[in-house]
Amino acid sequence: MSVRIDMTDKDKNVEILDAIYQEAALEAAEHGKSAPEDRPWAREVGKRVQARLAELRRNLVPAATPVAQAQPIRPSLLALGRDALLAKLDELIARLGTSVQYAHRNLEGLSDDDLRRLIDTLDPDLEP
Amino acid sequence: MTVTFGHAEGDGRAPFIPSEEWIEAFEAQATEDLYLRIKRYARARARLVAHAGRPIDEQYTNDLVQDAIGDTFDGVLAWDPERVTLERHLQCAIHSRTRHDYVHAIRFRQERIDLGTKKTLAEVETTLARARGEPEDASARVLAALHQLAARDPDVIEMLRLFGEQVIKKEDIVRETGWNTKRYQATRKRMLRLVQQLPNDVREAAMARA
Repeated sequence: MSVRIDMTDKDKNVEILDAIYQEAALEAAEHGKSAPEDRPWAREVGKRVQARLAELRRNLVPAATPVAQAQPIRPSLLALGRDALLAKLDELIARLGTSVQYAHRNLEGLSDDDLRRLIDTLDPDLEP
Repeated sequence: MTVTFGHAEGDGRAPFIPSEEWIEAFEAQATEDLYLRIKRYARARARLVAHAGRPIDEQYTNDLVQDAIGDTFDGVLAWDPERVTLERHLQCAIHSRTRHDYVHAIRFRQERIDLGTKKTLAEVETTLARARGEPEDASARVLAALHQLAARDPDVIEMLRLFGEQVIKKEDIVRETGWNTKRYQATRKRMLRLVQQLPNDVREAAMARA
């Protein structure tokens, strides 16, 4: 429903001219001809729009997860030497079977503390 | 040629972060053809502002388009791709800005002082127009000329009258007049043709600046 308000002649003139130029603008958009200089301008606008869209997309990528600080190694593992750690790892693998997966094929490259952390990850129910 | 989009940085607003769907919808509709259509739309709308005596150049038209796009990117102008096309959204933004600039320019003109006569320019123009036996307001002069051209076309006269009553949309005009779509479209076409036929001194005074 449109509500009509009493207007002065000047207000009416504004309304009429605004409406005329709205119609003229819609007609120009639909059927008008562009000036020769409009095409390079449009290409430039296209480039800028693409850059802004890329920027908006980058803003959508979640920020990197903060690096979690390593938990202290449990005293029960700290008490074990390298041979005992390797034996514990074998025992864990035997117990948990094929559900155990870890990336290290050559355990010689791992330090004692690396082994302790690996055991800790594989068996969180380990005694403290 | 420098094309820039305004960045609403440091204005205290939360940054606008659109969804992936919003970005995709924008990307899909933002073609070179769209920019050309919007530019033609903006150029025609800029002529309205020129009627109020504000000098209008190509940069003003470019700014109309670039500001509408930039404000959309910044979230100053909200665009909902599910409700309206990007083209319609940009047209609405440019329509609103040019109407504002037109009204502002009329007001500003009323206040500008001619230092030679100590009168406002509007007063000077009013005096000159009165001496020539013309309508005193620049917009009124355009409309008087338009009415003169349309004297033998009652449908165009009726359309102009309805515009003055803020009956502007096609469906409202059709309802008010009882015209069918064909008659509405034919009247609209004749009206736009008459705008092109306005006498040079009336039309060019406004449009030459556009």
